[in-house]
Amino acid sequence: MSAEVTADELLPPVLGAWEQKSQLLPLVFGKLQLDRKLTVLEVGSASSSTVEFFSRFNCRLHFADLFYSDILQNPTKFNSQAKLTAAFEKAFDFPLGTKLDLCLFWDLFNYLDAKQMAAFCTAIKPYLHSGTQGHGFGLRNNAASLSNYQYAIKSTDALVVSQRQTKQTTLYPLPQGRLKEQLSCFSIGRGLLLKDGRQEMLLSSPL
Amino acid sequence: MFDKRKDAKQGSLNSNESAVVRSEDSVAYNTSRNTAVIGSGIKINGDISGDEDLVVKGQVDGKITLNANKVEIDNSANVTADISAKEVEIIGNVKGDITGNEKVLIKKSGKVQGNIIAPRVILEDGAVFKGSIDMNPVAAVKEVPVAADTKKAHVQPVAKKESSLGLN
Repeated sequence: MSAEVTADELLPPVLGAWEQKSQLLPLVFGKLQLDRKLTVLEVGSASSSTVEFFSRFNCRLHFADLFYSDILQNPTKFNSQAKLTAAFEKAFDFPLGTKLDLCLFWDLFNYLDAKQMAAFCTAIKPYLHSGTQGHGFGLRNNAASLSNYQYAIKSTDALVVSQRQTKQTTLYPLPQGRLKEQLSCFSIGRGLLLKDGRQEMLLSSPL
Repeated sequence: MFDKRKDAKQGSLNSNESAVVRSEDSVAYNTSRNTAVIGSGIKINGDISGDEDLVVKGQVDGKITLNANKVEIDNSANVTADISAKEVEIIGNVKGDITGNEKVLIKKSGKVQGNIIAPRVILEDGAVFKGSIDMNPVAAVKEVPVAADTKKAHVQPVAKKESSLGLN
């Protein structure tokens, strides 16, 4: 089991949330083979909604709260690319042989600089397969602002959004062209501009 | 149920005599089945197994195996142990891997760091969880045979074996 932080150090999620409909999430689930066991990564904190949603599937859910990890909260701690990659690997803490079917990244890529993005890709690549699907939010342009929200799944076409309790870390907003260059471990498929300046994105493994 | 004289010899049970009681003595845990309670003043360092339901209000470092029964980790409890039971309900703190043959419920005040395997897992709003969850809602519930010599919950001392828990 993981021992990056103690349970006492973990912050509970904020209560009080609202629903956000998603037009692209149904496409993600349409591409998954739901008749076999799903392996899912969520890079945020575990929420009741996400656990309840996936409880209808035969699945293994990995929660790796990168938003609360030292990678984002204390980035100066990692003075080499190797240490950064190791920090991502430790945060993921996947058992040997894990292959991810679905990755729920939410806002993550807007908070990673180029070095963090490269380390992230190095760390996650061994756990992807040709059918790995992803879902996340980018930003329309590098001048866009981003609210400090956290996400959970409510249904195949809806998310639950709430204010994140941890402090918002430095934003590295990238237009889609730049994000495509930096995110070498995923191909960005269909995107949908949202009225708040975010861009909902479908991701798939380039393998 | 615990044999107090036996416990005192076998486990590192820092107890006052009244802290380990049957559920029949406790208003808070009034169930039809036998329920053992580890009181809030008790610290157990060792393995627990048997065929009674168990409520932990104190501290347990070791391993809890009650595959045919329910284990409840109370609000005041601090448990560093792998837990395997028919049903696990967590209101307090647990650091360790949890296997629920039927269900694992983490209540809103619960904090769990570890991996969970169960056909059904429920995380209440406000609960804190770090790890992975392995769920299979259609998995058949397996009846786990209980060995004849473990017909009562008992404590097996493993005072020098903390490192074997894999909770680094």
